[in-house]
Amino acid sequence: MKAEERTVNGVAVVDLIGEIDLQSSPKLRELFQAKGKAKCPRLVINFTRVPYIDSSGLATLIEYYQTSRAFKGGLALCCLPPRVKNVFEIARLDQIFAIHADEETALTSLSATA
Amino acid sequence: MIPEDEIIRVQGLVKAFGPRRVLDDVSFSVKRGEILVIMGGSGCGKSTLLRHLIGVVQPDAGDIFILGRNICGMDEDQLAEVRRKFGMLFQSGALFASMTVGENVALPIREHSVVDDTIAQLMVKMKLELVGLTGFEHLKPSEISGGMKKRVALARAIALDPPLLFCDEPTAGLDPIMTAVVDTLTLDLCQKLGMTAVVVTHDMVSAFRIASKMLMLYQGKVVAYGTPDEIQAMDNPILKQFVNGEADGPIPLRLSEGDYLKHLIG
Repeated sequence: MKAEERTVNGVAVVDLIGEIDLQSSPKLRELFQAKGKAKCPRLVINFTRVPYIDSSGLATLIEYYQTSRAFKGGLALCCLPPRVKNVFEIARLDQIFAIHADEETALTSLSATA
Repeated sequence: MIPEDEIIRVQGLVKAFGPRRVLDDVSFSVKRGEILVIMGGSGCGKSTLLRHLIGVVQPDAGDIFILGRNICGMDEDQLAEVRRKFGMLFQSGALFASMTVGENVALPIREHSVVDDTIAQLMVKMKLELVGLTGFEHLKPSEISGGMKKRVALARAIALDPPLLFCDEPTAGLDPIMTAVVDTLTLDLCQKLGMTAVVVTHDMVSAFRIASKMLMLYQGKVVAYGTPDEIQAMDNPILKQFVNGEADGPIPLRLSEGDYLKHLIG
């Protein structure tokens, strides 16, 4: 898995690329820990190029969600392929995370809460 | 060459214990995302077949391809590598009595990965929620019911999100609501995530609810194999007696009177 970072209208966007599994989720955790340490005010995670996420990936996201809540950071997920979206739905995490169909909507949602 | 979407292929499997053929030329295949239900009376060879599929017993003849690899003749290291890719729910649950529910579920996570303890704990919570046991992680197996133990064992079997799951009587001892919860979870994991499952069960309601394909064993042979609709339509008296749960039929429940008396007096 690779993670590419960019900024769109002042919002940090991370494009995740590749499968998120037991091998790669520690790398994702490092990225989130850096974002948590920097108290990233608004973060969009783009899943367009993520074909698969396992429970360790979900747990890593939950951990960052908990961290970001503590400093009131905004977090939005977008562009989940159907299979990845199913993983969130089965674990009922679609009720916790703000999941958006496209990046623009995700960015707008965070701008609205800024 | 096994097609990529064929997760299991069993060809001409034969196993005898002494003079008795427990598995007699058994063949079938399971595709990705399918749920194969194996059914049959006690002693028909179901559990022996399952033990072959997980590589615990080697056949006398035949081949078993799991995720594209023939596991017959593999050494323990090779088998361990294949076993990492599937989950197994044993009939008894097989929980460790000295560990808490949470520690039992975390066991495969700790054994096969290097994820941090915080991540492992979150994974355990998610799996316990899936089987309706949120908040039970600190209890010991002796402090929960038999049905709960079964669900903990299921949570442990799916802890690492395996592409393949084997279940021996997953709903035995569960009330109808929890049976439906486990069935729905199995269906969700297979239909939405592409997991493949092999389920041994006597529970016909559950079997017809979840099966993509059904296979009935009788005296070690496959007597019926097909989709639930095909199974319903089959005019096989052995199959019908089993599916309908009838005491009378071709499946002998007892030895005949002559055999019984001979057996009794020698």
